[in-house]
Amino acid sequence: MNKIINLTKANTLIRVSLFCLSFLFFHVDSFSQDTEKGKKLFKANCAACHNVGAKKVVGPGLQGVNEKYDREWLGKWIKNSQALIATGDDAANEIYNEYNKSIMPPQAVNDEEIDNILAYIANPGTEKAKGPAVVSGVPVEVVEEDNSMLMFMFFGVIILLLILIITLNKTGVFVKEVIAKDAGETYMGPRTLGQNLSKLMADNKGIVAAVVIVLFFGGLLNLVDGAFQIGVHQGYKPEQPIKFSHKIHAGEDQIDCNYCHSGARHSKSSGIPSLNLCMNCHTYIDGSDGKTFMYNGEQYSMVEEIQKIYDHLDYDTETQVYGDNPTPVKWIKVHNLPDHVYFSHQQHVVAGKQKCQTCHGPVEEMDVLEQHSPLTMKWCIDCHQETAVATKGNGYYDEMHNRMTPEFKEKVLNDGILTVQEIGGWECAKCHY
Amino acid sequence: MSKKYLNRLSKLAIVAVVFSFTSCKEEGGLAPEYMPDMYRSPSIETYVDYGELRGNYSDTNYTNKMSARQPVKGTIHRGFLPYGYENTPEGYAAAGENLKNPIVFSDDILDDGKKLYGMFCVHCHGKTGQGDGTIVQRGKFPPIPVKFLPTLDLAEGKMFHTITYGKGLMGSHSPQLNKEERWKLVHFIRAKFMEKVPAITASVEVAVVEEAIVETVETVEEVIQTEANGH
Repeated sequence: MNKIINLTKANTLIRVSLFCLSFLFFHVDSFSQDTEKGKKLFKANCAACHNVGAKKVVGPGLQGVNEKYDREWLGKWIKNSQALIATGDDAANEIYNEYNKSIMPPQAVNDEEIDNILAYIANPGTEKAKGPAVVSGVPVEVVEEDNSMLMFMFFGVIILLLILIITLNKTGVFVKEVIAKDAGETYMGPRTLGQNLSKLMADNKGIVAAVVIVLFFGGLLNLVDGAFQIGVHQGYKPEQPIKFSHKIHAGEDQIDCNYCHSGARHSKSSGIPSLNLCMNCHTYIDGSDGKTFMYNGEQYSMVEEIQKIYDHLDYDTETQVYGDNPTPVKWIKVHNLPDHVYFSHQQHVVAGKQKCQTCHGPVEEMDVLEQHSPLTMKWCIDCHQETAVATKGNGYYDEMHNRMTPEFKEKVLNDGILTVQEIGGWECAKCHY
Repeated sequence: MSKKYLNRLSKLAIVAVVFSFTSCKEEGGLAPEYMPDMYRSPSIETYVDYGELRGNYSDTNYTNKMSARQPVKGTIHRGFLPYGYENTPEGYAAAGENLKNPIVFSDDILDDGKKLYGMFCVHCHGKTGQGDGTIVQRGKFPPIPVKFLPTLDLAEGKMFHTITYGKGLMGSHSPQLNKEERWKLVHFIRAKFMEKVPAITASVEVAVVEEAIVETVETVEEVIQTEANGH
């Protein structure tokens, strides 16, 4: 029995000495091996609540934690913070109260792993270094400048041409006058540009008529074509106040449309998410690591765009406190139906089981959101004519089919599909009331 | 062709050409609108800045005020019951002890829960519930500390509380999910990943179904009767 006790004692002794040794090692020099292991462990176990820098995430930032607390205390805290708090330890209770008594769950790590983690915290390398990100240029204005330059050149050329025509006309008249003078006569022909032009037109009536007729009908065609474009905003692609990319969020991150547009299942409008929803992820993803992202073929810094959310919310990233002066983000509405049309997202998404992409197009590939469909009445009723109603598993339709008169049932179900049109999807009052 | 006609024709042509040019798209790719009041009306539409009417700030008192309003103080919308637990560690513990899932478990509920999980959870918690969602895998978010495993001892009330208020890095999902949907999710996660399918004794299930059938029959009979009376 004594032997066993001795053995366990020896074991603890070895452990303690080992632990002290590792402690020494870690203080003398943190091996890269340790920090590498520690980094992995940190990412897997700690990163959900802690940052290696000074930044607060859920729990405090761990920069300088090795200096603030001793190793033994940290070990106890990490393994079972509640037990440490229960002992009445001052430091433990202080931090517990500072973070509103939220509990740090006990972590299943051994002493060696804790050492590695602490080594990594002491020497996290440059990866997560805080500081302003390298701000990439915003080249949008350059494009606009290009545009104005083009316009400038265009008008310049026109003015130059006008000057040229006027001077040519003057020299022409001058030459004619000289010729007339030489011949001993006075020049009686047209002098001004206008007079010259009407003479030219009077001499070539056929050509003038042809040009006028072509212009007239060309213009008329253009006019009719334009009339069909009235109120059709297909391809409308406004620049939004925040460079939010659907391609990144819905495409690459594969976040479901409904996550942000949660109203689509419940109401007429699919809803623009309020900023608290952005903060579900962007309290953590703040772009402070200096990452950039591609948006519409240009590179932008993440930190700048995400800062816009914080600014609108009046949110302080250091203290994680929301101020009391929030302002709304004025997103520009892309899809707009006139007042005299009723459209419900809920009906189409829940009962109709339509995918968002049916009307909105491949949003998950768009950086800047664009109106994909024309949203004309023809477009609506064409779809209502072709699309089968999702009757499967919907008891309402089973009941409805039961109550149909045989003649009507024969009429609408003879082709095997029940289209939206056949259940009143073409009735005027379905959408206009 | 006389000069008079030519003159008139050319004037018409100029008018037509001018019109056709003005019918080009407006800035930002917006098409022209006929009777724009019909398109952008001052009526209560979703996400309209009340202070702004077609670019004019008529009443600056209402600027930055949207149609998506907060409910009047002291009121709740119909059918809404406040959630009686506070967002504190004590509230969390109390919810875990007292709250029970009010929704009767069934395969339909499981289906609904699966759909909801795919919409609201999967990008972080992953298809397997082990925190292998796309956002975590792409290194944007740290690994999720909670893995839904049969060994995980987590009361359903605590799960509901967490979805409602959020916990740790997870934000609150109560704006997106109503109570019913949250409970459905709790059912799904427990049944699918934690192997905690609520024990429903067969007799209870049958009784519930029978009750439902009786109700349906009654309603159908009622409908038939009222129809008969009406005509």
